Amino acid sequence: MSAPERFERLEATRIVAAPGALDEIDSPDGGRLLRLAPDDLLVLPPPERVEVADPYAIIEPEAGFSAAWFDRSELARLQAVSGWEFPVRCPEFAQGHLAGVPVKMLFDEGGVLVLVPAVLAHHLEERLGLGERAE
Amino acid sequence: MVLRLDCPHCGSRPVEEWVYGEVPDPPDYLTGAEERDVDRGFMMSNTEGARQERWFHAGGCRRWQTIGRDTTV
Amino acid sequence: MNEFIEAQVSFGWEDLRSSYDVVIVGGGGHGLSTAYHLATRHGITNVAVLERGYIGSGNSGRNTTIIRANYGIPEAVRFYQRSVDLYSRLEEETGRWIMHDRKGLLWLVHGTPGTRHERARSIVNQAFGADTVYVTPEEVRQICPDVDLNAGGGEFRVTGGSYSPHAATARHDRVVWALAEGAMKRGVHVHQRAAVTGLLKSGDRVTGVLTDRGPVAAGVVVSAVGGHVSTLAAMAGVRLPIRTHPLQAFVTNHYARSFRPIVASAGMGFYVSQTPRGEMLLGSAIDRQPSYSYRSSYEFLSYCSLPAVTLLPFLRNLTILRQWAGVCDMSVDMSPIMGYTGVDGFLVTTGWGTWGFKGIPAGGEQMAELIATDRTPELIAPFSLNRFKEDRLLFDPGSTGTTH
Repeated sequence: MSAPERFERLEATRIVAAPGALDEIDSPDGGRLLRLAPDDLLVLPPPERVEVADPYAIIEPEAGFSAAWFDRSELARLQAVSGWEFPVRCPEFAQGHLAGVPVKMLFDEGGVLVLVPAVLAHHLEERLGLGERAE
Repeated sequence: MVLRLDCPHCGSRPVEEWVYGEVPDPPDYLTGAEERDVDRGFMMSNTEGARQERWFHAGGCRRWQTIGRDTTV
Repeated sequence: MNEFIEAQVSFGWEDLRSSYDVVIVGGGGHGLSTAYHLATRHGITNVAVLERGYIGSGNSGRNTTIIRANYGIPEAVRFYQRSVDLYSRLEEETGRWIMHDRKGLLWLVHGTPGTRHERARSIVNQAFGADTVYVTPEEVRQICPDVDLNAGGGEFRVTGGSYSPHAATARHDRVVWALAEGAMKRGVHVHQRAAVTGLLKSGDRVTGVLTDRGPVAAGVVVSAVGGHVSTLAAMAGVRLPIRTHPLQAFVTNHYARSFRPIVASAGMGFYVSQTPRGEMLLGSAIDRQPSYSYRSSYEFLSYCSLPAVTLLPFLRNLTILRQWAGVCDMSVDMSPIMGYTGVDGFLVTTGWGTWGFKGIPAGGEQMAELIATDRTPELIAPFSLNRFKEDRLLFDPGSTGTTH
């Protein structure tokens, strides 16, 4: 069992703020910080409370993504359908197209978390052949 | 070989992830207001060679970036 | 290759003179057609066509050779129908076989807006002289049984289309050489490997060109350049509403059965026809970034093939043989630009985007008349560069056959 069956809706918190303020946020226990852009941060799972040193920061629940964990053994298969090089280091965060669908990928020791805009999740499932391979 | 662009935030990515953004660039010698408006609306330098362009990284960080590119390569 | 071609043209190549009445920059279809019509219609033969490479080596040799007049606006229908008529007489006129083949074009649509659009197209076409008719899915099946009207059961079910019996294809290098030969026989000079590097100016007036073989004075300089026109026009101080984009195409291996019509779907963004060799020739959207590069990409093959095999399932069994790219001068309103530029002594025929080949005979004929009479013929008056200043754009993106 290496590939997930399908993508599940992801709960997260989105913080849009001055880049300097985002730099200072610490990773919550067991949580993850995904830096989507210099002024844009996604926190998984949603923290109970978060301090941002920017009075104009926007902090909102983010429900627009679906996500699934893939085994590291699946990496070669994913790399084959992307036009860019996956990072070698770990943990590392990267964004780009996977099978023509925009995704965000968190490369970790244990596996790869793939985030996809929820409205495109079924396209990616189909293109990666998820749920079809009953081995 | 597909064209690749270097995103300052995400790294080198194929052009399919990007949206090209035209920037009007009326030349300095066009001084009349109407001339400049017509130029801004329709005309393009269409440079052959190196130039700076605006690109939107739709498939990644979703930010506008200024990227240098040689249009003859 | 040149020995073969030079043997076909039954006289020698002339040396470059220091002065001509007319210098045409660019030895592609439009430049040679302008020279041909200057010589044959107006007796003007003190003309030079200067070509940087060999004639037809630019977009004239890279396009998908479709000749049609099924445009969406009156000005374009009239102009392209003139070109369709001239093409059908070109073999007789030049005595050269250009492999002109009238095969008809099916333009398919997938849904109510497209259906409405094709009904409108057929009405506009008939009103301005083109024989396009609206067709139902059943008629589509009769004209081209290979089309999967269900489009694989997806969202691109064929709901109708328009059919243009006049549409044809011709062999592009034969067209170029028939025009070159016709012009040269009457005294026009065609110079290959003669690169124009600059313009000669006297005050604001353009008085000739600089070439890598020396300066050449000219009564009038005509840019029939494809791909690098903005650079040449900038030398004259002219700014153009043009962005140069690559357009890619590919052919498959030989398909044994005859595939008669040209089939296009603007909605799915591809068009296909069969070459005289039996190969299936496919084209699709322009590359989105402006570029002068001839690079081909795997991505193009994949995004062009998917809709093609969905609509024409037999294509699945074929193999792609080769692919290539040309660079297209896309005008902002997707219509050509012909005539005066506001700079004395400098004319353009440009903005031929992805629709240049079909315009070769009429474009050359009309430009020749403009040069000979110093008046813009009525047929191309709407296509002047001035239309952008005067806000009279000829916006017709739905008729270009590519997605923009």
